[in-house]
Amino acid sequence: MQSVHQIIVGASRRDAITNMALSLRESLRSQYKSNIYSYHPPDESVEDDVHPIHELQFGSSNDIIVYHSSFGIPKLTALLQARSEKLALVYHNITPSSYYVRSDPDFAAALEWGRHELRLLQPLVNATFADSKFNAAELLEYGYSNIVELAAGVNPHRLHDEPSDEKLTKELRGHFPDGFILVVSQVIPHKRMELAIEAVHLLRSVHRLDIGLVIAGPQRNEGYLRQLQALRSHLPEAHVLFMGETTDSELATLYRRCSVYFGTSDHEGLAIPPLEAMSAGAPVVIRGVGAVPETVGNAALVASPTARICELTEMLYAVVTNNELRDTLIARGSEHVQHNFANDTSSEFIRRINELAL
Amino acid sequence: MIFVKQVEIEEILAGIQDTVARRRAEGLYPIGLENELEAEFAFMMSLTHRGEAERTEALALLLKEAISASREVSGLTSVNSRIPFIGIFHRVIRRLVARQTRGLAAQQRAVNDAVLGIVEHLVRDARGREDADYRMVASLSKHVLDRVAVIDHLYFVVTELETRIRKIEATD
Repeated sequence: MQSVHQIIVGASRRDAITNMALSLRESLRSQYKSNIYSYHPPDESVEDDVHPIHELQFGSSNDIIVYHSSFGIPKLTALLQARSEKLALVYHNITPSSYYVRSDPDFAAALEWGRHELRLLQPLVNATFADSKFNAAELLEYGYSNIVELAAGVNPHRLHDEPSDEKLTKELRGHFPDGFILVVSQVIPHKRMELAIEAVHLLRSVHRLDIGLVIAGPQRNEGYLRQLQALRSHLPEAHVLFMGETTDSELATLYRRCSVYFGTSDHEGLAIPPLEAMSAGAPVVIRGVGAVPETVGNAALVASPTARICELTEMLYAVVTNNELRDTLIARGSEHVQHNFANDTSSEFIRRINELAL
Repeated sequence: MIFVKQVEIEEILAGIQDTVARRRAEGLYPIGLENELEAEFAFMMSLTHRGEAERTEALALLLKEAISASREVSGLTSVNSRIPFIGIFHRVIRRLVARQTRGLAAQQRAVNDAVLGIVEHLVRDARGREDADYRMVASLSKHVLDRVAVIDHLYFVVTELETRIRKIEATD
């Protein structure tokens, strides 16, 4: 039996790429021997589903390796270069290193290596997938051609069947009786969460709205988190709750209960949280950077990438106070994810892999 | 399908900037608010840099402040008081003990000067090491980049050779 194994850099149930790989694996297993291997040891949430990379055995030239590119690790590059299997690359985008050169040089170097790796792997890659037009355009710059634009394995409805977390619901009611703005993302500098803290401060101080802010997501940069907390203390009206990493049930609860989902990032190759928010019935306000406009279509209130804090605050204010706008965004969001992401995106991916396997 | 009264999102977006301008004119958004918030957070983030360079600079800045504070140690405190006429009392007391407090202040300044002199040496030392580190890192980076360029070149040569070998094998 031919094998189609996937390689990812790190693995966690809370990581979008891991979830995409897991979803693809289910489809791949109907025809191939298929496992997921992670360079960094998988965390406990997926340790039964994902194998450490050292367990990956050598295959033949009939087998296929699907590599999910989002970062750069020289040892992993070398491993990929040494393989005899056919190589399929799924590009999820690499954050520009400029955001981290000063604050986290090691991380910046790894990001820079990721882009260098794209050049090194280009002659070896047999099939190329990009999960947005924006990502496909970047790959063209690195010499790739015949790129398939496909958000393979993306499932914004994955939390539908998750029960709400009763304890969290109670806490949210207590903390934010009149509602809260939700930001879901890793807490790292280019996600620009300070904009959300400043916006909630202005909503409360200028508009006298009794609204709070919940920031949910793993904290990956201690210095940045410290400064966000300092900003919260410095702005007297900023009513903010840092949730850290959440369970799926907690995340589903947050999406269902928030007044509005707010996307603040400076750079996105494909933004999944706003799609999950739409699927859960939350209106979305988001900065139109990178692949965001094509991802959310006309189903969100999309701010110009250059929009500054007063404009963003006004957009949030409009959604929170204008029920017709709110209902329109909720309806459009639900329709958008139903129409564009209801079909199994894995089937097209499998079709392309089948062509490669011949 | 959910039916709701649809509003024109584009119109709302277009109106947002007018709303911001109107609120600015009303004084709800003070002039310079955005610049102020952006500059403030940029400054906060600049303090999170973990490089030695920033630490040495911060140390130098603290030293400067300490030197200036040390020069102000006079041994005399303010004689102002919120209670009427008590200022006169403070002035009398200060004059009575001035000889002693000025002497103590001079001793304190001498200790400060000695400690600050040591710190000054340490900052100079750190700067010197930092400059040497910079030179070494620059030189090492140059060598590493040269080697990487060679490896890249060799990698492409090997790939091309492998392709040729495969072609030759295929024709055989």
